[in-house]
Order: sequence, then C-alpha cells, then structure tokens
Amino acid sequence: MTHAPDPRDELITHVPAMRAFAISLARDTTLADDLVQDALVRAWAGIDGFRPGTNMRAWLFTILRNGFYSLRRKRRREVGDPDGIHAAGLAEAPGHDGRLAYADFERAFHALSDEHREVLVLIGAEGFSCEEAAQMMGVAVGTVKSRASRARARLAELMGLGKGESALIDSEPGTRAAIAAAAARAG
Amino acid sequence: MHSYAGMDRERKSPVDDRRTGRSDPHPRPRDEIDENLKRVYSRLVEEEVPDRFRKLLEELRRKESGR
Repeated sequence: MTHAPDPRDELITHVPAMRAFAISLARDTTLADDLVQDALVRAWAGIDGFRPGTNMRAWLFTILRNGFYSLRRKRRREVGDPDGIHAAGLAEAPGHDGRLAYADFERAFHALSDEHREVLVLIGAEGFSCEEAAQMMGVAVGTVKSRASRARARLAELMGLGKGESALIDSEPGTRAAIAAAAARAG
Repeated sequence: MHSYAGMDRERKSPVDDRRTGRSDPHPRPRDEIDENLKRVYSRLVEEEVPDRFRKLLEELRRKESGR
C-alpha cells in the first residue's frame, strides 16, 4: 500500500475541467472558484472514498455538484429558473446569416435551470454516459435522459430558433463580423 | 500550455470530433446543440490552472507531510 501511487497527485489535472463545470453551474467565477476549492479540500480529505481505477473526474464532479446544491439549499433561494423568469425577453432572432454568436448561445444557456445546465454539461459537453451522469446526479438513468431531452428543447426555445434554422454557432467569435466586413468591401 | 499525465488520455479536445463533410443537409438540432456546448465549454476548460489551486494543493500536501 505504501508504494501505491497517491491518487491525490492526479487532482490538479482535473482542476481546469472542475472550474469549467463549476462556472457552468454557478454562472459566476468567484462562486465557481470557491466551489472548486471546497471540492478539492473535500476530495483531499476524503480520498479514501475514491476507488482507484474508477473515473476520478466523475468522482470530483460529484463532490463539486453536491457542494453547489448544498449551498443552494443553505441559501434558501432558488438560483434556478424553472419558470423562465430570467429568460423573459432573452430570445432574440439569430442574425441575418442565420447563425448564432457565442454570446447568444451562452445567454440562452445561462437562462436554463441549474439542473438543465448540469445535465447538458455532463452529457453534451463532457461526454459522460447517461449511466455515469445518473450516478453523479443521484437520479435514475431514465431521469437523466428525459431531463437532457427537455434541457435541449428548452435551450433551442430560448435561442429563438425557428424551424429549419441552424442552431450551430459561429465556429469562431468574430467570424460573423469578418464576413460582414468582407461583404461590405465586396459590395 | 502545461500538459499533465492522464490529460491527453482522458481529454480529446471536444472540438476535434466535429463532424465535417456530413451529407445530411438537415443536421439534428440535438447534435448542433451538443456541438455548441462542446465549443463553449472547451473555451472554459482550456484555461491554465490558477495559482490559487496549485498553492492550495501544495499546502494540503505540505500540511500532511508535516504531521
């Protein structure tokens, strides 16, 4: 046992992903960094709860999201937006080229409920399986699937996309401006 | 940019699996939404580890070896 590598040496490699997940949940970098710090301290102290050979990132994300929801309960305020109050007036039609800018997408994403942002990051962005996400979120696999489906639908709705319009954002910020500038020069 | 052991194994850049040259003229919104998520999220992930967290982990290690 004494010669086994310390899994805690690996913690730092997960910090960038933990921060991205925390920012997605908290929508605030200061709070996000506090969540990451708290999760790292807990992970360090509770490393015996990590089973070597299993997915450390999933384990860390579980600690982090539990910290987030615990804080939310403590604050006794609903950070989420199940009724779409924050989202009112957010939906704007995409630009004339039919493509969304990063800012449009981020704004719509931030208007989702905490649970919807969480499931989309875990499944859509991080690429965890529904089974892994179910374990991390402490819900049934079917719940993860239906929640992810509703979250995507809500996001599309918030982006104000009509049927047949591309939901894909510009590959690089500034592309649209560059295209507009080029068009102006050509015209 | 620092590269840590295990990072390359676990993290292919989410952007790399972008499907180019697909023949479907009407890509499913689900795929497009996930693609957006990966793009936006990868911009958050690629940041350096702030000193705050390096120092925190060093401090935790130091305290423990001091016991």
